[in-house]
Amino acid sequence: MDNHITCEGGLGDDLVHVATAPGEARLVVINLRGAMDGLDAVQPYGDPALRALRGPDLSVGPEGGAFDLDGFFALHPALETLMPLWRAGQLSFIHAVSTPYRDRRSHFDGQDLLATGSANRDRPDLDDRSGFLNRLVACIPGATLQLAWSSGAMRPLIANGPAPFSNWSPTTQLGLTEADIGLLRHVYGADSGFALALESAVLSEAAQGGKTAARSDAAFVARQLVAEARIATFSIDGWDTHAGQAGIIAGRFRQLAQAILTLRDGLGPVWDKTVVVVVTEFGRTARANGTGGTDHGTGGVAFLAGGAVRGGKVHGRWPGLTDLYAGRDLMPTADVRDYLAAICHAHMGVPADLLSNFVFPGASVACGLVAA
Amino acid sequence: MQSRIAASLKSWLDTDPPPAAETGLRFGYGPSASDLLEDVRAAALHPPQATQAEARQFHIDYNAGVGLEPKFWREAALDFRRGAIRRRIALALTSPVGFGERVFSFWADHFTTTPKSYQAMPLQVSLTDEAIRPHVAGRFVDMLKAVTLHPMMLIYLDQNLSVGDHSVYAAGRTDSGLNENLGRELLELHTVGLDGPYDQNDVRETANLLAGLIYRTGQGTIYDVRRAEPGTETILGVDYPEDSVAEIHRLLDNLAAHPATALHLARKLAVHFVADTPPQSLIDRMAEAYLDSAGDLTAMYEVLTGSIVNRSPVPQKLRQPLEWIIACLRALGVSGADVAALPADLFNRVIVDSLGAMGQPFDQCAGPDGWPEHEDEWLAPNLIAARLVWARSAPEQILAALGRQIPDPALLIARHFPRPCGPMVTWSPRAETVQFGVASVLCAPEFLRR
Repeated sequence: MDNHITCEGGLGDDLVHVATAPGEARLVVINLRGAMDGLDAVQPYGDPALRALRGPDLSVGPEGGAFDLDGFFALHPALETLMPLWRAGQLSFIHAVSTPYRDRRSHFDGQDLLATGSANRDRPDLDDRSGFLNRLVACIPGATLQLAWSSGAMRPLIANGPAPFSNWSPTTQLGLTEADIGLLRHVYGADSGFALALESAVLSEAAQGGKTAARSDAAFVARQLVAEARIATFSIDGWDTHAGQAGIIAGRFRQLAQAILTLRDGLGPVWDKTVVVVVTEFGRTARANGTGGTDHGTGGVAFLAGGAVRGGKVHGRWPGLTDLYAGRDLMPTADVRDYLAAICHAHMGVPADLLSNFVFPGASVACGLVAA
Repeated sequence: MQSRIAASLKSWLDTDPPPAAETGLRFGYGPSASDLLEDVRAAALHPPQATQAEARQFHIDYNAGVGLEPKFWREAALDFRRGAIRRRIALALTSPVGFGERVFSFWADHFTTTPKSYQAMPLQVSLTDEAIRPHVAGRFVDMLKAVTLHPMMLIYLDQNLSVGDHSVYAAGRTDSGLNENLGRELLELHTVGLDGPYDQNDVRETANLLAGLIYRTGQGTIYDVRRAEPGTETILGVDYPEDSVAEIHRLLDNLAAHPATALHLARKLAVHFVADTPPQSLIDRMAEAYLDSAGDLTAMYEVLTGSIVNRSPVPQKLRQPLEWIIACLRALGVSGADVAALPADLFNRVIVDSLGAMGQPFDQCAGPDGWPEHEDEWLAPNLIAARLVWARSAPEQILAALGRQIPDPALLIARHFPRPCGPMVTWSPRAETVQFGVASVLCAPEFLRR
């Protein structure tokens, strides 16, 4: 195999195995919209400052039923069903990461920046509203991108751009005759926006199924990845836990775990060639607020799952909870895009210069991985 | 409950619907700018479907569970929302021009709320009808104050849970403290906007100043000074030393008068009504008119509607699902009185559920930033497919319930487009079925956009 994977210095960790032939690797990006609390998902119970910040209900660690990962971090109890993946080396986490977004803590801005994969809002690629997944697809000959968004119902920015993509939310029965479709093609004529939407709707109608939004999105995406698609994305909403976080976030975590396991089951043997990345726009405040919740923050956690993941490890440089960003948030010690770029490089085989110049402008592609 | 809503609906619709604006174009001289402003002033005068007092009483009765099984209470709550959709559509069909009703929808979206419980559904109706509608032709600051102090907003953006960290109330308690949500969105979404000159500290200070505002079902919105954060707050460079409602009013006065607010509101209006990327010169002139008139919204509308950019014959904006359904019903000759008369199950299935399938469930926007404006967001295949499904079956079902026939597609084109053009003119009349012919007109680019 052509050794096009060049890794110098950098993160010091191997994020993935290199065992996948070119064109066979699968990537799924699950976007948690609303800002998932990383300190509750992967709880740094070994940090002596945690307890005082979090009150009696949040991030209680192993004493509260969380699952010890490495003697320092513990996984939220509601993510229990993911523990077999952790033990099998198919699950890892990257802690204290963030996008380059700082200070304004707006969901909508933060999500835009994550979706575009750029370093700041002033970049021209944001004006073009092109998402990093779309630019990534453009770097992989023959690849297409599969979207599913029955939870969000909107065409997501993360996939937007000139490269072709196919998308469908498995909820609407179109039921048009051939003649109806032919007529609409005439009516839409040169209006490319409508024409493309029509063709996607008609072509994808065969794909149906699913019940709850996240699980049906995951099942749908898995079917597409077993077939021809190689890159897919969907969102799970509802992470903006300003109040009563303990109850709300447990339900969200169960849904996230179910989505990941649905992907594993649906992908079958292809799971071994798959990396699932779970990201969110930013983290939440280190200190619990007065209403049993947390407010918008900065540093957070990302998940990596899949048979191609070199799992069983919490990556990242832990900043400690005494030195908070702006006195309130988990201090980000790395750009999450560096890790995304490392995965796209090592797992999908995309050249480093394309990643740092085009897909994630300004990010450094650095991984400890040396190709076999 | 049902009958009360139906009865009040009927009273607004006693007069026959006036002729469509398209008829005015052909047989009159076309609408003038002052007609449009009159339309907004008329829209401001409609009485509320539910008052805050009624909504609060509902909240109390619901919690007490007086006289009804829980599921009946839920249905009663949903009836308020269904009533609000029916009324929104009926008034939009009755209005001669419809500009006023669209302006009302715009501000309802600017101050988006979503009930988190059944109990609060009538409060949302009260917010739109009592805090927004009366001010659509007035000064922005009056709308801003009415909305910010309305129980629905206090619930939706967690103000009800917020307590100053150093307040009397918080002393000795471990389960209470500040919540930034309303403070943040007041700056980011409602006034100076994301591009405005504020930072995290301003968000915090705004939340500190708002601490003390709280909704109680028995009393409505009150200011509980024991929850107030002591000390002087500094927001966008202005000091607010007092802890009082008057001080909160002063903050809202200052925010409404801020040049960044003028620009933010002008841009949002221009993006909604003119184009996804409107000319900056139009935005600047609208903002100037707002500042020169001490925040008079009609001054902005006058610049907006009088702009030369509106004379472009090419449609610029994709109609969002609710707006599109209303445009379809107008084109099909359905009146406000017709909509009031539709059976509940048909209305719920064909209108309420369909809005959800098209991506715009009524008054249930996913976040406080309102519905997206950019055309791409609404062009997802599943959303366009939902419109196709609707256009093919809903017109026939609605017209059949009213005892009418579905119109010939050629007639529909002639009625709706004074100067029809595009491939639709050639192709829609050739459809296999009249139902699909009508669908292809309603889903043609010329009709999906305006």
